[in-house]
Amino acid sequence: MALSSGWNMRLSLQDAELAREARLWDGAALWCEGRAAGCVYLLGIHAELCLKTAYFRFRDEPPATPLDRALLATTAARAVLLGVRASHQGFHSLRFWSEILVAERRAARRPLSPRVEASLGECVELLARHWSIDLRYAAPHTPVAVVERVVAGVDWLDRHHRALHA
Amino acid sequence: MPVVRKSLRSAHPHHDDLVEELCRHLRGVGDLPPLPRIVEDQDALSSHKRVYVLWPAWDSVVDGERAVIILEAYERALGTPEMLSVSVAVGVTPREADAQGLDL
Repeated sequence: MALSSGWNMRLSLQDAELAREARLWDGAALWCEGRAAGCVYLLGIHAELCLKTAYFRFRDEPPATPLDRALLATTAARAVLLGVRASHQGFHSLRFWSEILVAERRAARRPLSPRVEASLGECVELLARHWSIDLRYAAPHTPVAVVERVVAGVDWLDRHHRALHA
Repeated sequence: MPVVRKSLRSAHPHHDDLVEELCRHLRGVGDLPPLPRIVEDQDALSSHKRVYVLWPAWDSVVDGERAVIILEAYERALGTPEMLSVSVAVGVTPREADAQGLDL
């Protein structure tokens, strides 16, 4: 896809789905090259996209839905009404997307199973300890153990993506 | 010193009045002035709708709180399922609508 000039791109939910897959493989490629910090950064983006796409798919948004300012502003407003406590941090916060997904499912009377909800919470806490969007400005030393924990968290999200939105 | 925690929900001094006025329009009760005008744009591919509210009163309300007020009115007047069916909630003043080319 060619980038249009400036920030007038109309990125859709389907674009986010494709980017979710791409960032996973990008992260894996960096890990194969021994670039741990870059790997964790991209896997974190992948995790963010997992949660974001699961949330909007649960809402039954069509694939062509633009992820634009109006949609995100309305999502932030829903979060207020649904009692979500995590701030969205530019809509990159893993805790925000996890909490609003859980809250939205409860409000729609289609809650996650207690087991999946508990595991999602643990997974997101684990990932949020090692990743935030601010890593784009940092190149921290990243031990192998941290990469392994992030990989485990991302693996859980991937395997349960369908369960999160179905 | 006491800690004062301000939430977005109560940021505007007339937040509840604005919600109530929108509720009155959503319920269609009594004589209603032409504004606020609530325009619902139904999505053909899903059960969702985009809601636009044209209202001079938005002038003193920050962008983020406008959507909260609209969704809160839907929930209060029509119930939670109806609120959840609102995919996008946009509040604009007549001047903003003109500037953005919105035909409401």
